[in-house]
Order: sequence, then structure tokens, then C-alpha cells
Amino acid sequence: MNIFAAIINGLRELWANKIRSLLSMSGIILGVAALIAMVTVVQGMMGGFRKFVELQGGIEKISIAKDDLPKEQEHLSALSVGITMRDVKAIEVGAPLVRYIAPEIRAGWERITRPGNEMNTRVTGVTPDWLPVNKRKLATGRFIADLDLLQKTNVAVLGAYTADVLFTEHEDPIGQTIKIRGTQFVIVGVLEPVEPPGQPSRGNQRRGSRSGINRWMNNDIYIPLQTAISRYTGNDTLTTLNVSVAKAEDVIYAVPQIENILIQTHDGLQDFSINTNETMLAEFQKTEASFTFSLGGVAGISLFVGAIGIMNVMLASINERIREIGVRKAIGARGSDIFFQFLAEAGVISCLGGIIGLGVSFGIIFAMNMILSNALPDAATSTVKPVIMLAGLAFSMGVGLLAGIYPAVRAAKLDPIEALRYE
Amino acid sequence: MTKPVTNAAAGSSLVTIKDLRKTYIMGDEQVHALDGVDLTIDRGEFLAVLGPSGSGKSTLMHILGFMDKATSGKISFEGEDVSRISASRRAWYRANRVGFIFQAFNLLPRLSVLENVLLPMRYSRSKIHDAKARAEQAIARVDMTHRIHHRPSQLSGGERQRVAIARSIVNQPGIILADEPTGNLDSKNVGRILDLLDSLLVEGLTVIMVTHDLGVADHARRIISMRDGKVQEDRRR
Repeated sequence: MNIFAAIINGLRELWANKIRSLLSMSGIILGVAALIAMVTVVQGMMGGFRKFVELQGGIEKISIAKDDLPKEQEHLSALSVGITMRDVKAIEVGAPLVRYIAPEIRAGWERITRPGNEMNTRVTGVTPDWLPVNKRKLATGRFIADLDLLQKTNVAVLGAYTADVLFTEHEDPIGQTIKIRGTQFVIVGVLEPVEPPGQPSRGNQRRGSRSGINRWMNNDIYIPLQTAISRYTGNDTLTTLNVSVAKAEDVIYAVPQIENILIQTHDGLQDFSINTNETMLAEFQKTEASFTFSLGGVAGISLFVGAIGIMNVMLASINERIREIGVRKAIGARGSDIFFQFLAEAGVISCLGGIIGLGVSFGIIFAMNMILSNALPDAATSTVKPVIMLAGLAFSMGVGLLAGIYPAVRAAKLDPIEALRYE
Repeated sequence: MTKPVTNAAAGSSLVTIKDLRKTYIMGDEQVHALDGVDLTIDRGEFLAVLGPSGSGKSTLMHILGFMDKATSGKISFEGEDVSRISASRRAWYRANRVGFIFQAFNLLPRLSVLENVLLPMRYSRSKIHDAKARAEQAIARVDMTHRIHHRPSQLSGGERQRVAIARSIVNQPGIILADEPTGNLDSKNVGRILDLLDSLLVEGLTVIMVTHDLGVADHARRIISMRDGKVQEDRRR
């Protein structure tokens, strides 16, 4: 008996006992749905998170910021000056693993004006290394250069959203001037837009952006660090200091290097914190593992129940069809023919259960995306990948076939004479 | 009484059985279902096997039909010693060289007439390119073409048995084993089925029929009576 005939036969049996077959499939349906939904959602979350980490500069990035003093040093708080350019120079000299060093001074939200247009945006003083540390790219023009720092020039680089709001699509922002707090700045570059993880169309767009560029991370103006110091803050205390290492593996060695340097430059005051995206990633991986284990457990139990269901229905089916088995054997079927016939029936039930489970998983993922998008508009959404679909189907098929082996062996071993006499 | 039909190809032996024994162990007791049967069946013979329940006629049929193995003794089928062949080889003989007709018809209820008749070819282990045509021919042979797509539940008893005959001949076997083929039929259909069996005989087939009905047995050219696992009488007409 060929496979095609066995499958047709399986479908026929399934159709003849629709309700019973559907009930026996329910475990497989739930198992496959849970399995696919679990893998997809966890992958979606991880993918979104990795993208988020990448947008934050990747796992090579180390962030240094001012922090509260520990309890035993609280009485020395008057001596704490935060992160300054002195720290930048010390790290440049003493931390060979650090490849790029990007001090930042946030001047805050400012009113930006140009003839016929105005908007509010963040103004940040940066150095040339800001671009590689944050893994950002220029869409047009140039970024802040060393000479801008030396000469404290009034040049500015716009975020994509800012440029989109301030200029029409026919205008070239490069060489144009804008006013920040009344001072004229020449625009020298525009950054490429960044999209938050998730659906761009669903992001927190605001009126003003014609091309639908997301406001998040794109509504900024960057000016030379020294210009920001001289025009806005008046001192070299940094808002934050980001550095990056050449390879992700260097992070664990670079962090203690930086820590030792800062302890020295801060005269023993522990008024700083060092954060890496790696710690964030590790935390997230723990969450991912707990998700995988809990949902994987549900999927596993459901598939186990599904396997029992299939075995049960196959045994019942064989009991009902003992005479048929006898007839088939009498007209020439070998034990192996009967074995494959019943195995194919189990395979058809589980495969169909897998396909229905796949449909249900789409529903679950759609519902989860809906809930997630309402709660967190910028959150990552999950889509089912073909490889996950195939894996889910293969898994259900495997479970069904395993569950079908014992009943199929029982059917194959039936004595034809006894089977023909069975009433 | 109907006149027995004879076959031109008759004469050469199809099955030779020597000292055939089948013993069942029932607890401490041994039951001799066949107790030293010697028999030669020629090609083209129409043989009726008579006997009361427990006489061994069904056991003989099962062994002749390759459904069961003898405890001892020798059987040769179409010149080949088949006394000690494997289960797989027995299945091959059932698929290719033997056709079964049962009292209860034993058609598969979920399959149509055509599908039921096609079934033995699926198990024959040889590529049959014209399977459908052969099945249709066999169905036409029993005059059931008009019911080819019907299910067994839509057929009368006589029609079902005709389909069963079509199924038994579709693989062109050497022998037809009929176990009470008319047991569930009315007298009109009995005549029709016996006529069909007669016509198979003319085509060179050998028919062995187990029956309780002396009138039906009378249709055969040779009648053997069995009792207590032995051939009590072997009568040729």
C-alpha cells in the first residue's frame, strides 16, 4: 500500500469519525499553538530587545554617569563633581581597551527657529566619537569634527525628525541656519532616522513629520561639546559619558579598567555608575529563559496529552475495525501494510491537528500583539517565521507518529483468522 | 439437481496435501483440528467440503488459503513446497494466488464497489498499471458495473457477494476459497452465485467451497466429507 493511498485512507477514517478525531486532535492543536506562539513571541521579544540594545549602541557600549555616593561616603558629597572632561582624558590615556569615547552634555529642550518654522527639540553637545559609540549614521553632510571642538563653532547636526519638521522635502538643510536660544547655528549634517523595534507605522509619530519618521531618537540637535559648555552650561560637567570597546568580549575587562581610573580621578569617591548593555541583555535572557520554560512546559504537557489522545483514538479505532484488518490480511496485506496504514492515520490526525494548531497560534500571536501594542506602542511585534511553522508541524507529526506506533503494532500483529471471526 | 460443470484445463494437480496435521493446545489438552489429511486437488476442480462444526473443514480452508500454518505434514501449491514458508510469503500467496469469498461478504463498508475490488491489487506487491481497468473488468464480469460507485451498504446481499467474487478474482488467482458463500443469500441469489462460480471454473480457476448445504454441495464435481479432522469420504461425480 503506497503512502498516498494510506493518507487518503487516513483522511477517510478521520472524516468518518469527525467529532472523535477533533477531540483527539485537541491536545495536539493546543500543544502546537502554544509551541509556535511561545517560540514566536519569545523570539519577537528577543529580536526587539536586541534591536533596542543595538539602537543604544550595542553591547560594546559602556555608559558612565554620575551616581549617588554610597552611605559610607555621603558626608563627602560636597566634594563630588560628577563626570568631567578630566575623566575623559584619564580614560583616553589609561584604558587601552576603550576604542571610542563620547562625552555628552545635554543642554536641554530648546526652542528652535528658522524663518517660517519653529519647534522644540533636545540640544546635546557631543564629540566626533558620538557617532560610532551610538552606532548612528549620517544621511547627509558631516558630523561634528575635532576642529569644531577646538574653535567652538556654531554648527549643528539635525536628527531626521527635526530636519523633517524644519525643512520641506525640496529644501536642503545643509548650509542653512537655525537659531537656538537666539544664536545662529549652521547646519552641517542630518542623521539617518532610526526606527524603534516594532511596527514603524504604529510608533508615536507626531504631526509635522511628512515622511512618517518616528520622533523617538530622531528629534535632536547635536552641537560641538565645547560650544555647549561655553554657551549653555559654563562648566565641563558631563551629563553622561559613553565609551565603546572594539569587541563585545572586551567589555568585562574594560569595565574594571574604567572603574580603577575613575576611582583615581574622583579621589576615591564612588560617585559614578558604570552600566553596560550586556547586563541588560543578561537580565533579558533570564526573562526569556523563564518564558521559554513556562510556555515550553505548557506546550510539552499539551503535546503529551495530545499523544495520549491520538493513541486512545487509534486503539478505539482498531477495536472497531478488527474485522476490517482481518479482511485486509485475507486479501494479502502483510503486517507491515497494516502497520503503515494505522501509522499513516495517526500521522494524518496529528498533521491536521498541527495545521489547526498553527491557525490557532496565529490567533494567539495576533491577540498578544494587539495587547502589547495597546500597552507599549513602541514594543516589538512578533511574526511567525516559516521555519517555526515547519518545526511546529514537524513536532506535531512526530508526536502523532510516536503515539501511533503502539496501536499500529497491535493492529499489525492481529491474527487474520481471529480478526475475521471477530463480531 | 444441477449438472456439475467441468473444466477443460482440469487434470494436473494444483494442491497436494500429505499427512496434514493441525494441533491446538488448549490448556493441558491437545485438540487435533486436522489429523492426517491427504488430499490432491486438480486444476479446474470444483470441490465442496462438507462436515459438521469442529470437523476441521475451516482449518483446512485456512491452511489452503495461507492464513494459517500446519503443525506438521506437507503441502505443495502449484508445484512449490509451501509447508514452511514465512508470514510475508504467505501474504504474497493470499494476495496473488488465492481469492477468498466469505459468508458475510466482508466488503469494507467505507469503500465503494470499485475501491473494494481495487484493494487486492494494492497488496499484490507488483506494479499494476491497468489496475482500474482490471477492477472494472472484474466488476463487469459479475455484472455490477451499474453499481460501481456504490457503497456496500447500498447493495443487496446477492450484489455484495458478487462484488466479493469480483474482488476474489481481480488478481487472477489460481484458486478460489469460498466459505459458505451462499449462507446469507436467498434461493434466487444462491443460484446466481453458483452460476458465477461455475463460470469461473470454465475459465480455468479451481474452486473450493465449504458448505453445510447439501444442495449447494451437489453443485460441485467432487465432495469431500470431513469428521474429527479427517477426510471421511472423497466422492467424485
